[in-house]
Amino acid sequence: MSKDFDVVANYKSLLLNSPELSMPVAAIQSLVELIKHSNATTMSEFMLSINVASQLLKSSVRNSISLSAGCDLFLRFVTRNSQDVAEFETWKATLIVRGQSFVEKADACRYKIAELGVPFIKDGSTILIHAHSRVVSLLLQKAAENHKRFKVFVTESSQTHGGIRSAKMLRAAGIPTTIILDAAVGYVIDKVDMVLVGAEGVVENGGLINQIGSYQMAIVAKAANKPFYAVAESYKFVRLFPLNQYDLPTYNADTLSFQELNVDYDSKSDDAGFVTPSALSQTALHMKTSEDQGSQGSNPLVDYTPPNYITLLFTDLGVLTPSGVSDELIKLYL
Amino acid sequence: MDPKKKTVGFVPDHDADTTTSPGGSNNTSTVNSPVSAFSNTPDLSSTTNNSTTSTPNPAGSAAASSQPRSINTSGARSSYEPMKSSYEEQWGLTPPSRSQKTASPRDGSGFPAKDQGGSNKKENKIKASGLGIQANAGSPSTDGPQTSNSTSSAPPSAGGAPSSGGKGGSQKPTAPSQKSMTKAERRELQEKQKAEKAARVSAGLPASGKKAAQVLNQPNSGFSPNPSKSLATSFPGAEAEKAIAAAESTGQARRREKLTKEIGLFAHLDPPKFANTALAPKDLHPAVVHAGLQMAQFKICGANARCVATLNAFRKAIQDYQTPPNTTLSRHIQTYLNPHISYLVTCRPMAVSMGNAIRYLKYEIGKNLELPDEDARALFVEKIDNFIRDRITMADQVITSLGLQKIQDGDVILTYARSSVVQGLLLAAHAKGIKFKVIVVDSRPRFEGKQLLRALASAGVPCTYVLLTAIGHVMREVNKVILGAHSLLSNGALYSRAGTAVVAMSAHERKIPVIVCCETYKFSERVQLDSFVQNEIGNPDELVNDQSNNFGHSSTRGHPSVRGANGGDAASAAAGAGVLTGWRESRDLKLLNLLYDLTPSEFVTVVITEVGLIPCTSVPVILREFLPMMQQ
Repeated sequence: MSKDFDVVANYKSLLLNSPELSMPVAAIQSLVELIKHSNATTMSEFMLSINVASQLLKSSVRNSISLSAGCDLFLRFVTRNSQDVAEFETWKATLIVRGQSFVEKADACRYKIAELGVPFIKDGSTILIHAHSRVVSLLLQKAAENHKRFKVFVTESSQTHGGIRSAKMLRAAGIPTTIILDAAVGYVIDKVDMVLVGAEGVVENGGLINQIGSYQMAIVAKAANKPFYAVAESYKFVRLFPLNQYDLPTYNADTLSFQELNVDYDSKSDDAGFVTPSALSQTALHMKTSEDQGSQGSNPLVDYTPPNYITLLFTDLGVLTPSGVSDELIKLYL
Repeated sequence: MDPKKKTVGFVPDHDADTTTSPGGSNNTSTVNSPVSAFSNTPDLSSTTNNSTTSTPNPAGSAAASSQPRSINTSGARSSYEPMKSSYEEQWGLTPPSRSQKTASPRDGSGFPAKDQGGSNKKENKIKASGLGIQANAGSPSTDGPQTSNSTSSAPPSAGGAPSSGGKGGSQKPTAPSQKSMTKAERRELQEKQKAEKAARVSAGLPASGKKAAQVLNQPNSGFSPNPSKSLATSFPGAEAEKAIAAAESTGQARRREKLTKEIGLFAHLDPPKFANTALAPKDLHPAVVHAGLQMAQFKICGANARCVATLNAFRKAIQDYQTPPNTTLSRHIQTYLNPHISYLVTCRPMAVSMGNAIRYLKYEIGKNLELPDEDARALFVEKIDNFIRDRITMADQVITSLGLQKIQDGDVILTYARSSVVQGLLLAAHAKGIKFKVIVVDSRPRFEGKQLLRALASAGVPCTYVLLTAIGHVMREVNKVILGAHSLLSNGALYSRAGTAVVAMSAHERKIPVIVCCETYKFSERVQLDSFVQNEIGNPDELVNDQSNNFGHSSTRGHPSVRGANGGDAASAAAGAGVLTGWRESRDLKLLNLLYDLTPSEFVTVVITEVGLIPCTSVPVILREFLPMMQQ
């Protein structure tokens, strides 16, 4: 077995080195690395090592939702192709090639989504976004490049301060952006034409797991009859079916949804992946030192938005209704 | 003979308890003699009587055998006699000199004058059959007015409207135009008919009414144009007589719908069916007949149990099947099975699960037409076994293991009635050591939840038992609702035991997740928007709050330990006994016992299937993607 290869360390260094990399892709990439280093000689030993590594990865981070989406996808890919293995070594080589091409394609996903989503942004509209999501930012930048004129409200998102980062990026792209308080969603909703959020994971019923605050935005949007669009790459589709907020794998004291603002937290959360310690605002640093770690730890990091609040999902597979997600997932996993 | 044992022969463990077997003693006699099982339920017994006595050329033996039963039942039905007279009065039919027993069958139909369209049509049919009816009704020696009515009038009603012209009654010409008539005109016609009838009664055919009826009926029976669907048509010509007999008995079943006081909105549904050995063509395999009877009497109920029972019966039938000369097994077996399937339908409307299983079997048969006989037999038996194993037994195990992920310590789980899968899941969760509480919600008239309650309580699961009326009260402390399913439709709607929709909606109202456990073989291509277009009507007498009646219902009674839980009901039954007993007499009262209802997809959070947890809107995806794969 590949005891000499530390998959978790590889994964973390990948995230640190390339801030644009998202968790599932990084997970797949480190699993491919694992295969490269693997000296397993039998099929079962090989499968076992991959399974162990993906379990290791999932348990190494506190919010494993999008990571496990990537791991599951890759495992599914491996097992699905394991039947027609003629030569073990060549199969391993194929896996590596396929895995690498997947990683390369993952980047293209985002651009495809941006293309699909741009027509939804109407000239003169006002868009409310939540925290920071690379794919949402890209979509808005593309829209601006296409000479759409629109304004953006972005929530500050007080835990990660992703909103501040988003605002910087959008302003750089020439989009008028206002940072609002998380508590002001209801206040601005009447001025807003649509709500756009990213996703940590898209679950089996088309619901959304995303940075905390998305659910309340969805509820407010629904109450105000504003469309609520989620933007997610298809590799974030995850085989989970939460019944409610408390049925997430991140729910309970041992798991990641309770964030402590530790120095290395940025390597543990998808959305934090891009936040280098230096990017943390002064406030955040202040909070980190002044706040009681316990009370910070009791804050959930993600919430679950049920599918009935979601108007459409922009994915690289196309623009889907929530039930279309389940269609795709069933096709993938059956 | 314990019917439970018998059914379970090939039934996997979990289905053993699905086979309704409420109490030992109650059960034993019922399987082959519906009469004795339901001796307290006049209708059921009379069905049997009807079918026997109505044979067009009554063999002496048939008539004789029916006689003791009729004596037996006439006593039980004595309470219904006044009803006749009340209808007579209502219709102004009875000349003062007539005795009560000269009631005419149309009176028995229980249609108040208001139901112009329906009642008129029916009346015409009856009229067409001629005087026999009345003469028959007048016979003091027959087994009660109701039975004799149905007996004699059955052939014409089997004939139905289209045939009536051929029978030549004086009313015939008017029949086609009835629909277009005004209310007044119809009324007029009725009066006219009544007058004619009264004239006939006073004129003749009085004394030995039964004989007269048979004499008069015989010519009609030959014309019966609707020979009991495929049941009869599948018969070779030599057995035409038998076919006609069968046709007539189904005719009586149809006649029965009048006795059950069919409700306008549900007139398109099959009337409640009653176990009837005489419906079975003689060359059916006994295992199928057995299964059919048990289903008709709700000894076997629940989609899984019925499907397994059907498949096992067919398995035996295939094993015992002898290929006729000049054909091969796989080419002929379908022809052989068709009357069996039709028979099951005459016992109780086919469950979706059964339909899917039978379709699968037919598909396999059709795929292997070229196999030698013994190979084909072995293959089909194996396919049946595999179906039960893969699609039901294993599926349930997978559903249980998936469902366990959704049950946590401290949960309060509400469930409605009883589903074998849900019961298995809850017991497995308990066995796994999860600490949770169950609220079993139940409802009249079947009280299926008691069985679940018994199973859970004896396993040591903390339980609460409430009736559906208390749902609003108990829903407050619930944090998960787990339901079984009869079927999931293509639009994601859940078709399940009546009352499920209320439970699901009530949970949805409080944002409590509703979890449905359903094997994929119960998925249906059908789309249904409400509970009216397709449903099943149960025996309305189940609703009658009468202790003797309830006693007859094996599945609702039996176990002493459950009686305690049912204390309230028993007490109320004692206090209010007979409130509905005479419901047939009351001109404006009809009883409706619907067995299923439809829960729209938005009230179901998740469906646990053997292919994973899916939203119920993904039913068509499973049907499209997954099922073709399974069939390979």
